[in-house]
Amino acid sequence: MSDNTDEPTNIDVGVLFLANFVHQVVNPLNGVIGTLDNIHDGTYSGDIVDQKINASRAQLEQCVTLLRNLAYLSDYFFEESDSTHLRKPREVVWSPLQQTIIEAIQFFQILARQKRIGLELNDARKQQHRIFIRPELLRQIFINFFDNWLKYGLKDQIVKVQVSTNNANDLVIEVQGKSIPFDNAGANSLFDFGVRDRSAIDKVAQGSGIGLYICKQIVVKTLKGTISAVHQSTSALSTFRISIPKENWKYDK
Amino acid sequence: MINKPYKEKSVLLIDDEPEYVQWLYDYLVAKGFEVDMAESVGDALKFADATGYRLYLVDLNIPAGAWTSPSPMPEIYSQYKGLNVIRYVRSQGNSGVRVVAYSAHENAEIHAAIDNLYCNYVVKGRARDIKAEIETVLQHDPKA
Repeated sequence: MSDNTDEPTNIDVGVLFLANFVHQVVNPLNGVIGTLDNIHDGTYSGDIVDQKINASRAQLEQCVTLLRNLAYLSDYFFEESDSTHLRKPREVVWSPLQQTIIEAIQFFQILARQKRIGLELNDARKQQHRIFIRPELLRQIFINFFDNWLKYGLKDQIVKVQVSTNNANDLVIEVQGKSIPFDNAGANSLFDFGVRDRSAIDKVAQGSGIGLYICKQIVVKTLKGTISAVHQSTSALSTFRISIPKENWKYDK
Repeated sequence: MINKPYKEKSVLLIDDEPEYVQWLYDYLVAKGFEVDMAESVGDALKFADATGYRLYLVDLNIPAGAWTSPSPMPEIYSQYKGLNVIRYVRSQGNSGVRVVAYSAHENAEIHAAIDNLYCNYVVKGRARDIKAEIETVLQHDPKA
C-alpha cells in the first residue's frame, strides 16, 4: 500500500482501478482483433464470418458500455464538486421501465448465450411503469446489473427481473439469479467505487469496480431511492434490489 | 519428467474469459490441434497433471480457483496468478520454449518474472504476435 498501512489509500484504489479498467477494455478488443485476423488469414470463412462479425459487434458494444460508465462517473463527480459550470444540461423525462429492461436484456443476448445465462423480465405485459429520469441513466442501471451478472453469475441459469410495489408504495425492482458468493455483512460495499479492485485478489479479475457504483449513484442521488444486494449461500441465489419512491415512478396509462 | 500421456498435437489454453479468446481456440483447431481450456490456476494444474501438452498458452490474469499456493511466493505471483501455472508446468519438465504467456499489461515486473521462468510473453491486442509466437513454438523440436 502506498502509505505502508493495511488500508488502501485513494491513490491505491485509483491505480488499481485504472489497471483493471485497462484489462476490461483490452480483453474484448483483443477478441475483436483476433477475430478480424482470423477472417483475414482465412481461419474463418464462409457462413461463420457473419456470425463472428456479429459476436465482435457485441464485444465492441460492451467496451462502449464500459467507457460510457466513465462519462457517468465524471457526471457524478462534477455534481459533488463546486465546478457547477461543468454540469451538463439534463433532460429528465418519464422513461418506460419495462421497455428499458428489455432493451438491456437484448443488448446482452449474444454474450449471455455464450455464457449459457438466460435473462428474463417476468410479467412484462401485465403492468407498465415509467420512471422520472434521463432515459440513458435508467438504461445504464440495467446494463451494469446484467453486465455484472454475466461476469459473476453461474452458468446454465436464468436470471429473472421482477417488478412490484411494496406497502410504502415504492416501486421495487429485483434482479435474482445464481452467482459466486459474497458476504452479506459487507454487501453494501459492493456498490462502493473500486471495491472490485480491492477484493480482486481471490476472485475472477473481471469487473472494473465502477458499474455497481454508477448504479448506486443513479438510484440514490437521482431517484432518491435505495439499492441493496443479498446472497443466500444454500441456494447460491443473489438478489439485487432497487427501490424507487412514489414521486419518481408512475403507472403507464 | 513426470510419467503421463503426452499429446503431440495438443494445446492447453488457460484464460478466464473464454469468449474473448474464442478466436485463438478456433485458430488452433483450424491448425489441427486438440485444445483443452482451463479458466483458473486450479483447473489448469489438473489438466497439466493429467497430460503433457505440446504448447501451453497462459493468460497471466486468471483466478486461483480451488488452488492455494503451497509456499510463500513473490507478490507478483498473487497479482498475476498465471505465473503459478507457468512455474508448475516448467517444474514438470516442460521447456520454457513451449510456454507462451500473455496479458493486457506490460511492465518491468512482468518481464522480470517471465525472464525468471524462461518462457515467451506477448501483450494482448496483437493477434499476429501471438500467432507468430505459436508458430515459433511449433517449429521447435518438442523432444529437444
